[in-house]
Amino acid sequence: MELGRMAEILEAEVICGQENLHLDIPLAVASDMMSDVLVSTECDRVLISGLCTIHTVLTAQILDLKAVIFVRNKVPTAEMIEAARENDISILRTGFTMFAACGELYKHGLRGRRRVDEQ
Amino acid sequence: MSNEHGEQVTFQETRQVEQGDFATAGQIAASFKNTLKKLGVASPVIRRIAIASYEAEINLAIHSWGGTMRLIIYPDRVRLLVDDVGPGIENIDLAMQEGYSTASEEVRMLGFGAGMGMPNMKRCADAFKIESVLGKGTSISMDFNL
Repeated sequence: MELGRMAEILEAEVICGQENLHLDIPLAVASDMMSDVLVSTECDRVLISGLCTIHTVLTAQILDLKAVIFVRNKVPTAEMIEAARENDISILRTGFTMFAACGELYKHGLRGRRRVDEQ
Repeated sequence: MSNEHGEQVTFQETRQVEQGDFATAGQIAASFKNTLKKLGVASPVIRRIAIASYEAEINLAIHSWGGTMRLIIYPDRVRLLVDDVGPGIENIDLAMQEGYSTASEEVRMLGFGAGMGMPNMKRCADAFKIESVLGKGTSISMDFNL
C-alpha cells in the first residue's frame, strides 16, 4: 500500500518525508516495544507505534524502514524529526488508536507478519 | 592489519558505552551500520549486525556499569565483541528465553525490556557465545558471515 494512502485512511498529518508518500510499502509492524520490532530483519515495513521517543526513529533507522506512524496523537520531538530527515524516514501522526489504526489499514489490504515464527 | 592469530583484519573500531547512557544508546549501532555500508557489506547482513549492536548497546546502558563494543571486520566475517563490567547474568538460560526481562519500569517506558534483546542478538548472529561472571561482568562474541 502506498504510504500516502495510509495517511489518507488514518487522516494522518505528514510531519516529515513527503517525498516517500508515493512509496509502496507492502507490510506493517505495530508495537510499543522496540525489541519486538527488532525480531524481524524485513525492511519493507511501516512501523506503527505509540512509543514516541528517539528510539522509535533509531529502530526504523537500524532496520532501513522508510516510515513511522505515531498513533494516539503522539507528538514527535524536534530531535526525532531531525533524525528522521537525516535518514529519509517519513513521520506520520494520527489521532487513531493503535487498535483502530491497525484495523483500518488491515481492512484496506495492508498486511503484516501473522505469526512470530512465520518465515 | 592482523589479529593475534595472524588473520587479516580489514577494519576495527572499539567504542565505549557508559552506564545509564540510555538516551544516546543506539548511536554506536548507527555508526557501525554506516561503517559497514561504506565498506560495501550487503544490506541484509548489515541489518542483522545493526540489530545485534543496537540490542547490545541498549543492554550495556541498562544493565552494566559500563562496557565496550568492538567491531572487527575480517575478509570473510564480521565479529562483534561486547564486554562489560557489571553485575553479570545470574541465569543465562533464563536471559536467553524470549520474554524474560529484569529491566526497570523506566526502561520499559522507553520501549525496551521486552525480554527480546538477547534472543534477538542470537537470532541475528551466525555464531553466538556468551560468558558471564556474577559481580564481574559479561562478554558476548558474535560472528556474522560475509
